[in-house]
Amino acid sequence: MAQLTDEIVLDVANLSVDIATPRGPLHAVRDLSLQVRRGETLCIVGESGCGKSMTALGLMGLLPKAATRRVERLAFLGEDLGHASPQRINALRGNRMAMIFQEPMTALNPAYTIGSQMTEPYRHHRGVTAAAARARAIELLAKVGIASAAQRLGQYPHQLSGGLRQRVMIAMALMCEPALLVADEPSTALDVTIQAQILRLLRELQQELGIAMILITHDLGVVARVADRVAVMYAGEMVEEASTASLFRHQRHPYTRGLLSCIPLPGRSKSAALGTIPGAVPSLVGDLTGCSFRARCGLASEACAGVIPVHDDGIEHRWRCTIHPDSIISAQARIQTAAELPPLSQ
Amino acid sequence: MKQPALFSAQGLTCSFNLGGGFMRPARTLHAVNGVDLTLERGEVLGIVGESGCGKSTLARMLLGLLPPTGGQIFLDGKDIHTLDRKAVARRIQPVFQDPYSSLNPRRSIAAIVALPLEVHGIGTAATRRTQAIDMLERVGLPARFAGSTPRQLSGGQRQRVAIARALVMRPEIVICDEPTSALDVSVQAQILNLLADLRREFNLTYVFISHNLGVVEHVATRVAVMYLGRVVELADTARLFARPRHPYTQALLASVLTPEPGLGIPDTGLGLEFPDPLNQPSGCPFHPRCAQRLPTCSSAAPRLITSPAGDHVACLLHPNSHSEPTS
Repeated sequence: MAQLTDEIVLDVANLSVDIATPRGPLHAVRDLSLQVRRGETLCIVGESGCGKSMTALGLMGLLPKAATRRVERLAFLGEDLGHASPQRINALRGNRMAMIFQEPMTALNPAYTIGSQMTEPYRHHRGVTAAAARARAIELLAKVGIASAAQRLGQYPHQLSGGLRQRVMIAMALMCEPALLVADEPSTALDVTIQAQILRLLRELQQELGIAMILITHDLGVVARVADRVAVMYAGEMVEEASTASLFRHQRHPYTRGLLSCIPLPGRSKSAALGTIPGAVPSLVGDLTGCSFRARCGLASEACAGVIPVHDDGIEHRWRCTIHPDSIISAQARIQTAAELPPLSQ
Repeated sequence: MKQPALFSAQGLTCSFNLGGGFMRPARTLHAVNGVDLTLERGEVLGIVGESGCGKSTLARMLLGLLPPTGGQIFLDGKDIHTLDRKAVARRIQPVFQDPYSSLNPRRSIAAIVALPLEVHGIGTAATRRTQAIDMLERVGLPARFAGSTPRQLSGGQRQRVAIARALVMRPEIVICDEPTSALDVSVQAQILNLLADLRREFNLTYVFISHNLGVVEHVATRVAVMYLGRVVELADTARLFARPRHPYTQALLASVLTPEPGLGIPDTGLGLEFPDPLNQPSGCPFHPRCAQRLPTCSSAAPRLITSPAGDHVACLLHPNSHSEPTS
């Protein structure tokens, strides 16, 4: 296992992404700040539309044309990328900053062989010979567990299974020894048995090579098994951030608690209904004030329409909620007890 | 004499002929390969398996949407081929995975839910509408949604419409094919709770197809595990999850990432080769990936054997799987 050093690979302060729509700008990401250190895995978790993929694209400078990015600080290995030239970003992206996408079939070009897709960026960034690039590709395919790597280089993406394609994506991302790897739902399109193998491989390589990884997922099971730290996003905002152990031991934000109670768990009583979060995610178009979760929150009060404070319990566990840290547990307990009482009509 | 099961299938097979092209031979894809199932009234039969295992093809055959190439389906002991198509549809209804493509985008919610009644010629337009709105309310959509079109609704609301449409005929059996796979986890929980409530209220029997083992464990009373078109294990839910007997079921359960930090990512030892239904291995279909395989597994196909408790498993590691079961 690589040593956790304090070297901060990516330091982001107040990242916002707006998407132009006919009804006005949609605030997809709002004032998001995060840091990832060398050898660390940060998971960004949330449901569809919470802004997690836009965060990834915003960090990599790959946003669609309709989107605009504002960022106070975007530092990669100490270098300011918030105002860097497109040439500088191009020199880093695919080189020291790499990305893995959800669906390897659409991320890989169907008209080129695996070999040419793997070697082209390496030759571009490093200026090495075709033979050297080919040797590096074979080395990495072997590292991600692909047998007869030399033959695979001549194959096209459609000749590989989903799990193999995702391994090729991982090998391709590692070609130029990235310091930062952003993986957007890397295992979501795969079957469970393949998902476990891909995540295991990704985690091992990340630790071995000391890469800072941002892994984006909607699956709290993946988070629990892979992450060192977790950021929970809701409606474009980070609502809670903590070490994995701390987050799963005591979730502070009502949304995080709700999300965990929704998951059917082995051994949980079958007669008991699953927890649910009533309602749906609010529209992110127009002026947004207060807590965006308040319409669905069982603990909401008038204060939730105002400015929401960020609490910190001193062990790098932060959450954005009006409820005081000491009262949230007892308030939640009160609600649960009330829900368990039989209805009055019976 | 034993009462026939509510719904059963025997030796159900479905193969597709893939037409050959220029310089390419025609090939046969065995999507479902001799599946036997019985469904008793009131139970929830979960069907799990990975992509390409034939679970959706099985669902389409059970619904009568796809003619089997072999085997029979019985409703109350009668072959459904001998029964009237509409009479069968009245008793068996589907809920599909994607509520975006399974609802007509140009019709109102009330019209979508009333359509089965219209097809079967039940009641007048006015009574059909009342019944539809009543059913929408039971699935948690207030009457004010009746005039909306599907595009005005969220994914969870659309799936409620699909459920209302399935239930408006008051069927006995509902076949749910991945009903929550397209939904977020908080919405999935709402739909699973709704399906559980409706089952009690209307005394329904479900076939519940999913790739999500946590969901299946939560809803099913019995679970069938499919691999390459075959049922490799079928058992009571609690027993299957506590003591899986087939190596594939064991690997499948071990792969599930539960939200328990500190456990790490399991090593299933399944290797990289994903099963290809076009190129099925000889003997046991799972043997190329199986860590516990015996020398005979590549030549002898195991039979599905029944334990005294009524559970089934098809694996040569279990005695009797290779010989005629002793009675």
